[in-house]
Amino acid sequence: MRSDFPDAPTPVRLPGGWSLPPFGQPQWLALLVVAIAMWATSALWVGLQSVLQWAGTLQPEIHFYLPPGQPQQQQALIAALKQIEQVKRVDRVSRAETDAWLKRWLGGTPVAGDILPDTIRVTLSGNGDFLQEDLHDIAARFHASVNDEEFALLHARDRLTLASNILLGCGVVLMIGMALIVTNTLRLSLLAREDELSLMRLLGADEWFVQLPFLLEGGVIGAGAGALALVLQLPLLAALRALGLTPPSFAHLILPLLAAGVIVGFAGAVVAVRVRSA
Amino acid sequence: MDPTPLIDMQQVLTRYPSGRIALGGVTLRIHRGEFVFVVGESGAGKSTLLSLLYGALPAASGHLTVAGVDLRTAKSRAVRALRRQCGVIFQDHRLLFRRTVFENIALPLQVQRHPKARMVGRVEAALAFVGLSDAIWSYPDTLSGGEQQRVAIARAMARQPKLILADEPTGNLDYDTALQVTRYLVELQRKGSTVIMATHDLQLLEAFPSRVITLHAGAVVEDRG
Repeated sequence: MRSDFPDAPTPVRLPGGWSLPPFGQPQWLALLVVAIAMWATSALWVGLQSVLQWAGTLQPEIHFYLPPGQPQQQQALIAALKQIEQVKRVDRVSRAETDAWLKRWLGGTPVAGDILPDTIRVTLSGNGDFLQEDLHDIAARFHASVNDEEFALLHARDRLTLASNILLGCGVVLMIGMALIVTNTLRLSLLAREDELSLMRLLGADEWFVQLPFLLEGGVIGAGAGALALVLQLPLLAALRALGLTPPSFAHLILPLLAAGVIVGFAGAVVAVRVRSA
Repeated sequence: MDPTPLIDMQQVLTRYPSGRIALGGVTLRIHRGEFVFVVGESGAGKSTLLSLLYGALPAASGHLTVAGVDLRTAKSRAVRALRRQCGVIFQDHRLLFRRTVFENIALPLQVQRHPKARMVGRVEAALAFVGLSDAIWSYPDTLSGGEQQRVAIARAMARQPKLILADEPTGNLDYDTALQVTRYLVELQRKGSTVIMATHDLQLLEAFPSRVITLHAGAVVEDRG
């Protein structure tokens, strides 16, 4: 603006149109609050994505136990298990391996006698609607028992996906909350400049000309918050990589965070100017 | 004189939000280039009459045309266009105290999207007219009441309006300053604007003989000159 008015001792700020209103403490505060909320939402999402990716690399294993000394029944059980679609691999765990595990579990005490059952390890490729029931049915058919606790891992991925969806819902609610923060800030800004705005209307200003600076202000607050949230993601991304996880790359976060910021800021501004002009 | 009046009011009635009649059945015609005083006691309807003329208040009934715009049926776009042709001076001058004198006077030009490169010249000319050239980059609160009202006149005349509506612009000023302010408005009328000035200062009517419309309880009781 100064270049248009070279003789002006201070920068000239003419209101309306494409001129951005002055940025004061409420605007900075709103930017910070929205940035923190955006960072929290995106951090949870980034964390979940990393864990989901890690969970995708896991191969859940379920152990079946049979009373010792029944090799034919063991063969039949293995054959039945191999028929199930989600079963990737079936192994018989050797006696030496089970004895070594028990000895380790007992803190090094040698195991006396043949007390452990025969063990079959089933490696699964994924989960299915009736997989747990199918495995239990087979176990019952061959008088075997199943380690039910191991099904928890099988369900973990489903639960993580569910958590991801819940988080998405929370993110939408948080975005509405952030838009309300921007709305409130801009309403204060509009209130502080009520005299100027009503004067502009009395002088014949078009409504878009009066409202545009506030829409711009909302967009700038949102974009600024998105940029700040993006910068705050850097330490989190580094920490997740240090844990051996593979979080989404920084480049993948730029567009969603900036776009979400602008949308939130702009939506907040639209609500604010509509409420004030109504 | 142009036979088509700039302002044509026929039996205009308007009410306060409370429902009480503010103006009842006002009929008057004002032609281009006239200087008109509107006088009357407080609450007579002077400010309401002026507000009607730039579409700040709606007429409840009757016929009201200003500069060819029928304000009873006009869309908001037409009302805004009319306002851009008017210069309004308020009793409390409505200057923006967080903005410089330049920014205040340039506001109507900015609303009209006047080229920025030519704004300074327009503002300087308006300020020179009211004798405040030195105050261009000052803030209004550093000026006296009379100077502030002169800045308001400069703002009203900046875009060379065909109609100037002055709502008791001398209401808070001493007599000498009031004379000076009215002299500026008369000068604007001589330059071609139509000026309608509401006042309750009867001494000004003697100093500047012209048409006087007297309101009482929301009705025109006298129209002379």
